[in-house]
Amino acid sequence: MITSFYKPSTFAEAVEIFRREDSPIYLGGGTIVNSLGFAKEVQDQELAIISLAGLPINNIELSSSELVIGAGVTIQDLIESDKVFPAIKEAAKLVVNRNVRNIATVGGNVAFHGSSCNIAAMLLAMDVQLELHDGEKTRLVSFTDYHTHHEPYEIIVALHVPRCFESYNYAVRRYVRTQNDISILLAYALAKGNAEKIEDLRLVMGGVDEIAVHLTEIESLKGQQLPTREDLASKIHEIIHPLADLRGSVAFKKEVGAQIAAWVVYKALGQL
Amino acid sequence: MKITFTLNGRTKKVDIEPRERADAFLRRIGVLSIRNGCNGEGTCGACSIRFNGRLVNSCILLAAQLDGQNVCTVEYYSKQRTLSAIQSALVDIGVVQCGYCTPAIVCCIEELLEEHPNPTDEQIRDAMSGIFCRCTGYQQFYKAIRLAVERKADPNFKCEFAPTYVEDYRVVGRPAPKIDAPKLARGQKAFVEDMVEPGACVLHMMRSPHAHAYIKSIDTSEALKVPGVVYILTHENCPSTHYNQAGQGFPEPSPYDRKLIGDKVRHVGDRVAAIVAEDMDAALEAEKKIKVEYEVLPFVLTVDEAKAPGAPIVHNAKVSYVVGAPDNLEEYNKNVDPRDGEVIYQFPIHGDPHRNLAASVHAGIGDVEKGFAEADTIVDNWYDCCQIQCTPVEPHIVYTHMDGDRLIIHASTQVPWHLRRITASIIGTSQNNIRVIKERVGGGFGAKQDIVLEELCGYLTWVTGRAIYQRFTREEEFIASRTRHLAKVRCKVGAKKDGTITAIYMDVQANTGPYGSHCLTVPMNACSKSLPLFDCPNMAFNVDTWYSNTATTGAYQGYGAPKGSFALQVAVAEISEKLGLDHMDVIEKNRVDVGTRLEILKSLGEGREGQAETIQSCGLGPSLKRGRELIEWGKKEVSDDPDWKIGKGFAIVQQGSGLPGLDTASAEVRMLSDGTFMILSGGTDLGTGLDTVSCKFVAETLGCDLKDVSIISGDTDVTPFDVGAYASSGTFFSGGAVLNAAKNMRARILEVASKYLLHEPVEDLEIVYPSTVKGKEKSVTFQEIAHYSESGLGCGQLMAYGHFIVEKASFPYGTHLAQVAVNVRTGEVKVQKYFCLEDCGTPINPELALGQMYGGVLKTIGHSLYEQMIYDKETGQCLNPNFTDYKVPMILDLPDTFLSECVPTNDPLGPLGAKSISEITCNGAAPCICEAIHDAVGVWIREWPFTPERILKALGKI
Repeated sequence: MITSFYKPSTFAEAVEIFRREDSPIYLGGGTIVNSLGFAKEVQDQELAIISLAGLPINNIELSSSELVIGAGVTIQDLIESDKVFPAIKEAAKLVVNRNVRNIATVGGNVAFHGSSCNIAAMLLAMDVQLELHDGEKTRLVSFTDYHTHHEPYEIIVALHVPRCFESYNYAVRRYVRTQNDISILLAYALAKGNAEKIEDLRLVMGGVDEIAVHLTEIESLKGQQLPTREDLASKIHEIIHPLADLRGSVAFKKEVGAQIAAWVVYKALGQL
Repeated sequence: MKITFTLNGRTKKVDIEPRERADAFLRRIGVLSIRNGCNGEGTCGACSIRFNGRLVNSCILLAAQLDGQNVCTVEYYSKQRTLSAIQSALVDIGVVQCGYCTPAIVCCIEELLEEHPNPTDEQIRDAMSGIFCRCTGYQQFYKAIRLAVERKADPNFKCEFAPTYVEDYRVVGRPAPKIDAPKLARGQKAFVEDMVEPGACVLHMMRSPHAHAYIKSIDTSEALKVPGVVYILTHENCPSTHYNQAGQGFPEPSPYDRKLIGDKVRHVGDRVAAIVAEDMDAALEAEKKIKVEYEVLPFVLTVDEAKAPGAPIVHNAKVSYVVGAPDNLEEYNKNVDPRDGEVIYQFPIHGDPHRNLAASVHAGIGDVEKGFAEADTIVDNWYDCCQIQCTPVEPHIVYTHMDGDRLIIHASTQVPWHLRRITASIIGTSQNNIRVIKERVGGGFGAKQDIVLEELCGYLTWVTGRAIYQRFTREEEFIASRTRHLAKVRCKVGAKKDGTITAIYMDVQANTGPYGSHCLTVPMNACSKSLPLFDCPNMAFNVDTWYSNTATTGAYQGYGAPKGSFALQVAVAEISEKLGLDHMDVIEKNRVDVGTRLEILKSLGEGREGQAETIQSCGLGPSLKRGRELIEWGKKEVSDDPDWKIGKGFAIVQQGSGLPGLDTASAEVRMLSDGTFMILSGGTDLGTGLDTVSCKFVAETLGCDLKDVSIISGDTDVTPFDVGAYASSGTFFSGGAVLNAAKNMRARILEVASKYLLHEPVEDLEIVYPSTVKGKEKSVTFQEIAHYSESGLGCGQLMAYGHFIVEKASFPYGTHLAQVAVNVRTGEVKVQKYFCLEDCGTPINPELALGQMYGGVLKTIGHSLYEQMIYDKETGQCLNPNFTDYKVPMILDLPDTFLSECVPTNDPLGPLGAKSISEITCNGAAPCICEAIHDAVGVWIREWPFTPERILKALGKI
C-alpha cells in the first residue's frame, strides 16, 4: 500500500528520499507501478512513491555521435520526435496502445523491463548506454549490465544510443494474440550488408528467456553468406529455450520464435 | 496531502490520500464520467481522461500525479445541454450503445482531431487503440469521426447516417438519435455507480480458494470486531432457501441447486462469506480475520471427467421435484450428504445429479438411421468449444437501500422482474415490498440475465437496514459471474452424391459448471437454432449437461446457438468437400425458405411442448446472393507473400425472436397535458436501443414527432411486467407491447375525438401528422384532446395498455462470410474480409441494428480466434481472469474490410415487420472462419478458438 508520495525537484533530493525510506520506489509515468498487477505484488508493503516528474529528464537530443533520450520521455513522444531513428520508433510503436504510450516513459520501460518488453530488444541490439544518477554524479552503464550493475537508488537519467545504428537496416516482429497484447515473442534485427555477405547483424529476442537476449550464434554469421530461411529458422529453433505458459507451449514458442527471428533477419537484409 | 490542479479549466485544491488513484479521486469529487472496467489493470480505457492534453488511463495514475497538471474530462465538452460536434456525430451514427465507454471515446476523439484535424483510418485506429468497447464493433466510428470533422467546420452538417432499408414508414426504419445517447455522450448520471449515495456500505465477498470443498468450520468472531464491519453472512446464518440465479420465466427449467451461501463450495471463487462494512479497508481487514477450515474434495473440470464412473459428485444432494417426481426418489436420495443441500427441479428435465448430470434431452423427427443408410457419404466429427466470458465493460454492480420498509434495488440487469421475484423469495417477503430500478446497463450480453449479486446485496440490506454497494472486480466477473458453457458437439451428417442431406444427428455434451443455470436451455439451443436451417426429413439430437467445478456458466449472446452453428455448419462444409461439391450449392439445395414447414420444432420446445411451424419470412436467399457477390465466392485469392495463404468460408445462421408461448411483455402509453406521450414500458434496454424502438413505434402509430414521445422503462414500481431482455425478445416482444399500447391509444384518441370534440363517426376520422385528428369537416389537435380530457368535464387522462404474446416464432436469418489469411509458418490468422448480412425483418433503428451486427461479429471473431478461459488442472483455478491474458478484440483487430448489411424482409408476426437482430450476429464467425482456414491451408480445426498453436499442430509443424 502506498503510504507516502514525494515529488523531488533535484536528483539529490530524490536519492536522499529513496535511501531514507524503507520501501521506496521511483515513479515514471506509472503504467507499471500503479497497475493492478504490481499493486498485488506489493500489497503487504508500505510503499513510498518518489515521482520523477519534477526532474529534468524529458529531453531528446541528437548529436553527431549519439541520440540521447531522457528517461522521462514518453513512448509516444519518442514516436513523434523528428530526432529519433525509425528503427527505434518501430519498436516503440509496438508498446500496447496509445493510452499507455501517452504516459509510459522510456525509463520506466527500462527499469521494469521483462522478457517481453518491446523497447528492451531494441536497446540491447543498439548497445545502448544508460546514464544513471546517484544523487551526486552520473555514470554510464550498458543496458546489458544494468540489471546486475546498478544500485537501487540510482535514477535512470537518459539513454545514449550510438548514432551509427541510424544507418542500419532493421526489422521487428512479434507474436501476439491480439494487437493489444504484450509481445509473447519478439524478434528485433539490425543488419548491414546483403544475402551474399552479412556485414553486421544484431539479433535480439524477447520471450525466450527472463530478459531479452542476443542470439549470438546467429549474429556470428557476420561476414558470411545468409543461410536459407529454413536453415536459419532451424538453427534458431535449436538455440532458443522459451518456457511454457498459458500463452503457449514450448514447442509452439520455439517454432514461432524461430520463424519470426528468421523473418526479421531476412527482412533486415532486404530479402523479403 | 493537498494537490492543486486544473480540472476542466478550473483550478482545484483538494486533499487526497497518497494511495488514492486518479479515477477514484475524480469520481469522489463529482466527475461521474470516469468509468472503470478493469480495476486498475489499465487495459480497458473506460477511465480515460486527457492529462495535459494526452489521453491516459486514470486508473493507473495516482491522484498525487495530478498535482500541478491539467486534466480534462468529457464534462469539459458538455457545456450546458449542448452536444459537441464529436458527441453529436457519435449519437447520430449510432455508436453510443451501452454508452459506458462513450465519455472516454469523446476525450479520445477530441485529442485525435486536435492532433489530426482530418485523420486517416490508421490515425483513428491508433487513437482509439486503448479503448475497449464490447458493444459496437468499432466499424461505425470511422464514419462518426468523419462526420465530426465536418461538423467542426459546419455544426449543421448532415449526411446519410445509415441506409434506410424500408421506406414504408415516417419514423420507423429511419435513423434517429437513440433516446438516451445524448445523456450518455455527455457522461451524465446514468449507471448504478452514479446512484450510490455517500455513506453507503460496501459488500465484499470472501471467495473459495478451492474448486470443491466442504466448509468444516468458519469463525467470524475476530472479523466482526474490526471497526466498520457491519455484518457477515456465512452458510451458518444464511437463509435455507434454495434457488437458481438464472433469470428465466417461472417455473424455470434450471434447477434450484444453491443457497445464498452453501456449506459446500463448488468452484474457485464460490461464496464463502459476505462482508458488509462501512468501507473496503474494513472489509478487507475483516476477510483476513475470518478463519475457515475446509474439507477439500477432488474436483472435475471437464465433461469427460464429470461423467466418468466414480467421479466426484458436485451435488450429492437431496433431489426433489415440484411436479413430476419419479417413483424411486426416496431410493435415489438414500446416500446424499446433507452438506450438499438440495437440488429442486420445478419439473423433470431428465437430470441425474448423483451422476453429475444436470439435464438431458433427446428427440428428433423422421428416421435418422434410415437417413444415414440412404446417404452416399457421411461425416461424423466432434466440435469443441471452450469457456468464454461476456466481458461487459461495466462489471456486475448493484446498489441497495431501504425506503421506509421497502427494499430498493438499483440494478444493472436484463431481468428486473425476475430479480424482484427471486430476491423476494430469498428474503421471504412479498414482491410489493421490493422495487427494482434498472439503471442504464453498461453491457449485458447475457451475463446480466442472471442474478449474481443483487439477491445477496438485497438480502443484506433487508437484514441490516444499511445501504449497500457491490461491484465485481474484473476477476470476479470471470470467476463468479457468468460464462459461456463449455461444450463438445458431435455432428453427423449424411448426404447423397448430389448434395441432398439425408440425415443429421447432433449430440451436445455440455458443461454447466457448479450450478445449473440455463443447464437445459442453453445447450439445447445449440440444436434449436441450427437444425431448423435445413429442410431435412431425418434429424435427431441428444443433449446432456454435466455439473463440474469450473466457474459458473449461463447465458451469453447467442445462448448456445454459436456452438451448434459451429458444429453443423462446418460439418456441412466438410461433407460438401468430401462430395466434391461447392459448399454454397449444397447449402442452397438444402436450406429452408419462406413456406418451409419446420417439423423439427416439434422436438425443440423450450420449457414446453414444441410445435411445427411454417416460415413466414426468410432472408436467406437474398443474403446468400449478396454474400456470393461481395466475397467473390469461387474465386481463389493468392497472396503475394508465400508465407500467407488465403481462404474463404461462409455460414448461414438463424436465431429466434423471443420465446413464443413463454415470453410476455406489457406497456402503457399516456397522453400528457400538451398532447405529447409518455411510455411506461417493462422492456429492458441494455444499450441496444429498445427504448428508441418503443418511442418510434408510438411516434409512427400516433402520427407525432419522435421528440414528443418519452419513455420510462424497467422500473418494477412504475412500469408493467415484462420478462426482460433475453432470447432476442426486445424489439419483438417489448416493442410489440408498446406498439399494441400505441394502437390502443390511437383507438382511444379517435373515440374521444369522435364522441366529445368532433362529433363525427370514428370511421370518418383519421390521425394525421403532426398530432392531429382529422375529420371530414373539422380537425382537433392532440393538445386540444388532452386539454379536454383532463378538464373538469372531460373523460380523464388518456391511457392505453398493450401487451404482446405470440404463439408462433419469427426467425431472423443471415449469411456470414469471411476471407482469412493464414501464416503457414506461425499459424497466425488475419481476418481480411468479413461480411455480415442479416434479415431482421424491418430494421427499426437501422444504424443501431448495424452496430449490433458489427459488435456481435467482432465479439465472435474474438471467440473464434483467441478468447478462452484457461484452468489450472491441479487447482481448478482460472489462470486468466483479466484482460492481460484473456484477450478481447479491440479496434486494431478489426477485419481489413468489415461490412454489415441488413437484408430486410417483412415479417407478418413482428411489430411493423420487425424480427430480432442481436444474438444472430454471434452464430456465424466460428464456422465461416473455420472453413476459410481450411480453404487456405487444408486443415479443419474443430476446436474453438482456432489458435496459431492448434493450426501449427494441424499442419504438422509442431
